[in-house]
Amino acid sequence: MNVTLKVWRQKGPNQPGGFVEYKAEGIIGDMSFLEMLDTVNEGLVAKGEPPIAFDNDCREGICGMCGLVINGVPHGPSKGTTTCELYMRHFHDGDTIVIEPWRSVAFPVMKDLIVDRSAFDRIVQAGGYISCKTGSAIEANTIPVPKPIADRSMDAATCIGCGACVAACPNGSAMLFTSAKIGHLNLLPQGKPERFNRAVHMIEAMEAEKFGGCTNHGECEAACPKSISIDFIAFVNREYMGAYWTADFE
Amino acid sequence: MNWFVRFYKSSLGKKIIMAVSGVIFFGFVFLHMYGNLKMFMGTELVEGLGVYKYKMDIYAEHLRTFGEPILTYGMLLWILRFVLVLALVLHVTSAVQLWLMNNKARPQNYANALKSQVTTFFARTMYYTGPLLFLYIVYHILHFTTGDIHSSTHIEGQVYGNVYNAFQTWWIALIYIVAMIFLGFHLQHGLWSMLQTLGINNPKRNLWRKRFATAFTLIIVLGFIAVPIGIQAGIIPEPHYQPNSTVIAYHETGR
Amino acid sequence: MKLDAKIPPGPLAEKWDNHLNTIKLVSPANKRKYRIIIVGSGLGGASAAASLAELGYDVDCFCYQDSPRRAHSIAAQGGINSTKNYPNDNDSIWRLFYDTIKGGDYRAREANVYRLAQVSSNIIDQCVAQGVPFAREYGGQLANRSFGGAQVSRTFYARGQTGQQLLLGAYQALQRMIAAGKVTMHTRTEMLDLVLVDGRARGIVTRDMVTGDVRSYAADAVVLASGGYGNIFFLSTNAKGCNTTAIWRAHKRGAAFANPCFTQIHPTCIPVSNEYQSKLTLMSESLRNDGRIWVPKKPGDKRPPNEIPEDERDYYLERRYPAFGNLVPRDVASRNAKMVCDEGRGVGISGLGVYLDFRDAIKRLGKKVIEERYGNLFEMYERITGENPYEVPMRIYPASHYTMGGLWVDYNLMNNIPGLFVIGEANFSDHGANRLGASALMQGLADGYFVLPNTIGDFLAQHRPDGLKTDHDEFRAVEKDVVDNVKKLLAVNGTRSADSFHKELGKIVWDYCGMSRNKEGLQKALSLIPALREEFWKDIKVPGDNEEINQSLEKAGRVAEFMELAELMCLDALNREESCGGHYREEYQTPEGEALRNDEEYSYVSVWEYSGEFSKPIFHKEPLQFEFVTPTQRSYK
Repeated sequence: MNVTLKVWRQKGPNQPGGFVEYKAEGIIGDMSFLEMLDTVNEGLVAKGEPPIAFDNDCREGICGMCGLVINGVPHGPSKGTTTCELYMRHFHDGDTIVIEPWRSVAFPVMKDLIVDRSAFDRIVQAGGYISCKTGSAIEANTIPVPKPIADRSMDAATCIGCGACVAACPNGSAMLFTSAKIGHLNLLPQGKPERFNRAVHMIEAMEAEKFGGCTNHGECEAACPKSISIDFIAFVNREYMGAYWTADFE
Repeated sequence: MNWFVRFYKSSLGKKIIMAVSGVIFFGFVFLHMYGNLKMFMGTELVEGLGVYKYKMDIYAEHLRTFGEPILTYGMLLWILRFVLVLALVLHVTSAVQLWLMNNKARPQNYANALKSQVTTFFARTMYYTGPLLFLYIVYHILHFTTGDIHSSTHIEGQVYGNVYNAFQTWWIALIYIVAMIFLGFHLQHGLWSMLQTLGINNPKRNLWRKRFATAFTLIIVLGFIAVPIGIQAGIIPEPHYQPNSTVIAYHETGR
Repeated sequence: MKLDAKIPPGPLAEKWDNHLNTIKLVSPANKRKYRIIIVGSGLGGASAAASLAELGYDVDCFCYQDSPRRAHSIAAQGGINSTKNYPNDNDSIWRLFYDTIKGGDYRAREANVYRLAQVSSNIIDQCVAQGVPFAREYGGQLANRSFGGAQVSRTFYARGQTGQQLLLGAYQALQRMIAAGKVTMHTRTEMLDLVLVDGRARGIVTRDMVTGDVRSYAADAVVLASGGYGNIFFLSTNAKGCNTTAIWRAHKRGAAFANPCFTQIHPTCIPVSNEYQSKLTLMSESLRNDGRIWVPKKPGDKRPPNEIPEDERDYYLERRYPAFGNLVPRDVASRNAKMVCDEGRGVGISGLGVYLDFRDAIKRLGKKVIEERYGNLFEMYERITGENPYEVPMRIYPASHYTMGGLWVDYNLMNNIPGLFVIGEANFSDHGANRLGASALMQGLADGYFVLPNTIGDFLAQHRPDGLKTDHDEFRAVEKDVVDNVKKLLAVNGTRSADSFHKELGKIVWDYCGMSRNKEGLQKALSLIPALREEFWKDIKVPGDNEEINQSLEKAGRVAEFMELAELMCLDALNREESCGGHYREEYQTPEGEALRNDEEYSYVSVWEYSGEFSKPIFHKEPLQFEFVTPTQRSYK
C-alpha cells in the first residue's frame, strides 16, 4: 500500500518546525510503524537528505523510548500498544498519516519527533524509590505481601515511562506517570515508611517541571500502552491527603 | 499556616479544595431541590396559629427559625450563606488558577489537534458550564433572594407566590430550565470527579461511582426543572394570599 | 599478555569469603576522593553505580538512551534464579552452581560460577527490599517457577516483565544517588573510546549525542557495563541501539576479548516476515510446554498448516529426542529448527520458520486453560503477525539473543588493563558456552550489587587518587582519534546507509557464524567481512553534521565497530575445533548429530589480543581447571 505522511520536522530545540509531506510507497501490513519510517528514511538517506529523527530502542514495547502522536492519538490507533508494536495493517492504502512529537512544556522538542523526557527522571529523583542500601536488606520472605496487593503494585509498576499520558492529557499533566510510581511503591509494605514523603515530594517535583494538573478526563489511561488505570491517581490523592492529615512528612 | 500555603500551592491541593467545596455544593443543591419540591405539596394548617399557609412558605420560614434558641432568627441561613460564598470563592479561585496552570503546560499546542478517546462532553465543557453557572447564581440571587430583578412581582415572604409569578413568564422559566441543564452537565463530571479526587475509589467497585454521578445528576436536574415546568403546565395552582400576608385562609375552629 | 584469573585458593565454597576477608579496603573517609566511571545503566551498570555511590565513591554514569531506565535489561521476560529453596525441592548453592556450569557446557570458571550461585540469594533480598513486585503466593510469600535446564523451581518472576522490574529497582536506587549528588548521570552520551594513562584505564572519551560535543572524563577506575554484542546479526532480540562500541574500543586499546564466538540463539522468536524487518521479538520459552513443534514432511509443501494431514507432519523434536521432546535445551531446539529449514521444509513466506502448534493442547485442555497460561503471549503474537494462534499454528524461528563472550576479566571482574572493570553481559565470565534461562539477570545484579563494589575497593586501595585531569596529553590524543573517526565517517559521502551495511554484515555472520558453523563457511565469512568493511569505508553515506542529533552518524559508528568484531567472532569460531553449547561446528558432532566437545584440547577460554587494524589478533589461552565437577557429555535422547 501507499500512504502519505505528514511529519513534523524541526531542526533543533527552540527552532521553528512544520509538517513536511512524504510518500511512503510499497508499504506492507506486516511492517511495524517504525519500520515504515525506516524505509522512508532509507529513501531520504539515498537522496542525501537528513532522515526523520525519532526515538526508539527495544522495538518490543517495553523500553518506553518510542512515542509518536499519530493522527492525533499518542502511540496511534491500537489500544494498549506502543508505537513500535503498531503495525501498518491497521492503515489503508491512500491514508494520510499525521505524525507529531509529544507536546508538553516539560518535554521540549530536541529534533523532529524527539523530545526531552528527563523531567520524568527528576520526578523519580524526588522520591520514586525505596531507600535501602545495597546489603542492608532483610531476608526476602520476612515481610509477606498479600497477593492482591502485590498484583496491584505490579499493575502500576508496568509503567514504561514513555510519556504518552502527558501527550494525551488535555492539560499536559503527568499525574498518571507520577501516580503509577507512587502507587507501585506505596502499596507495598516495603514502601510504607516513606509513603507520605514520596507522595508529597513527587507531586511537588511534577509541578516544578510545569506539568499541568489532572482534571479527571481519563485520556491518559486510554493512551497508556500498558493500560495503567487512573485508579492510581485516586490512590495518590488519598496518600496526599493522608500526608497532610497526619503531617508525617517533611 | 505554612502547611496550608504549601498544600494550596500544589495542583492536588487546589483540586482537593475544589472537591471539598464541590461536596458542599452537592449537598446544597440536593437539599435546595428537595425544598423546591414543596411547591407541589400545596397548603398546610399551621396548628398553633390556626391559619393555612403554603408548605413552601412554611419551609422557607422554618429555615430561618431552625436551630432556635441556640441560633437566633435567620442565623442558620447566614451561616449557610457564609459557607456557600466561601466555598464558591475557593472553588472558583482554584478552578481559575488550575486553568491558568494547565494552559501553561502546553505552550506549543498540537498542530494537528489531539483526538479525544474517552473524555466526555461534560468533562470537556467544565470550563464553560462553570462560568455560566456563576452568572446564573448571581442572577438567581438578585432574582429570588434580594428581589432586585423582576421586582414588580416580588413580595418578601411569599415564596410560593414569587416562584409562581416568576415562572409565569415563559422566558424566565426557560432561563431556569437551561441553567439547570448546565448544572447537570457540571454535576455529571463534577460528582464523579469529586469522588476520584477525594480518593473515594475501589478498583473493584468503581462502576458505582459513575452510576452515583449519573443518578444524582438526573435526580437533581429533574427535581429542579419540575417546578418551572409544573407552573408552565398549570400543575402548580395559582397562589391566593390574604393581602400583604403569607396567610392563605383562617381556619374555622368552631370555637 | 599475562592472564592471571586470580582465583583465590581454598575449597570452592570458601573462596569468595576468604577473598573478601583478605582483599584491601578503602576507608569511608577516603572513598569520596575516588571517582569511578560506569558505562551503561542496565542491571549491571545501574546496580553498580548505585552501590558504589552508596559506599561513598563519586560516580559518573553514562548511557546512550534518554534515561537510564531504558537499558535493554528491561526486556528480559522470564525471571531470575536464586538458591532460596523456598519450594523445599532440595535446591542449594551447589545445585545452582552445577546446573549453570553444566548448562554452559563446561566452558566457564568454577570459582566465578560458584560465587554467582552464592550471592544469588542476596539479590532477591535486595530486590524485594527495593520494592520489586515479585509474584506472590496467596500467603504472601514469594512464588517460584521452573525454568529450562533445571530440575528445581528456583526462578523468581514478576509476570512476564521480570527484567523490567529488576531494572526499575536498580534504576530507582540510581536515581536516589543522583538526587544525593553522588552520581552524575550522562544520558544520550555514547562512550567512543577508552583512555589509558601509564597503562591504566583512566577515563573515557564520549560524544554528546545531542550537541556532538566530544568530551573526556577522567576517573580512578572505569567500569564497562555496556551489554552484549548480539546486534551484530542486525536481526536480533536486542534493542536497536545495543552496540559493541565501548567494549570493542577498549579491546582496541589493549583489553583482551574472550570467547567472542559464544553467542546464544533463542529458539522461540517470531520469524522474519519481510525484508524490511528491523527487529526480532522473543516469545517466552514456556510456550514449548504445551505447543508441539513440526514442519511438513515434504520439502516445499506450501499448503496452509491446517490442511496438512497428520501423517504428513514431522514432529521432528519428538521424533529425534523421545525423552525430552519439545523441551530440549535452547541450543538443541534452535539447531534442529535450522536443520529442517535447510532441508527446504521451513514454513512461512521466507521458508525460515517452524510451526508451534497448540491444536492438540487446546483439544486436550480446552481453549480456556491455554488462554490462562499463554493469553498475553498469544495476544502479542497476534499483534505482531496478525494471525490468531488459537486457530493457526504459530510460526517460530531462532534468533540471536545473548552473547556469552565478552571482555576478559579475572575473578575481581578486572580486565588485563588495570583499572578497567567489566560487568554483566559485557564480560565473558559466568555462562561458558551457553547461558541458562533466568541467569542473565542474576549475573548482572550479582556483579553490580555484590561483587564489583567489593573487588573494586581492593584495586583502588592500591592506587591512591592522584588528581589526574582530562587536560593530560593522553586524553587530548584519544579525543583527536575520536573526532577524526567522526569526521572520517561524515567525509566518505558514499551512497549506502549504515543500516544497509549492517543488514549485509548481519546476514554474513548469521549464515556462517550463527546457529551452526563450519570451517569452509567461516573462512568464506573471513573473506567477505573485510571486503564489506572496505566497501563500508568507501560507500557509507552519513547525511547531516556532527553538531546535532544525528542518528545516521550514531548507527554508522556502531556498524563500523561491528564490522571489526565480526571478523574476530569468525576467527574464534574457526579456531575452536569442537562443538560446545551455542558454538556448534558441523564437523564435530556425535553420530546422532549432537554437539561433540573436545575437553582434551579445548578446555580453555580463547582470549584475543588486538594487534592492529590489518594484523591478525594474538591468540592466548586461559586453561580451565575443573577441580570440583567432572565435565560430561550432555544427552537429551
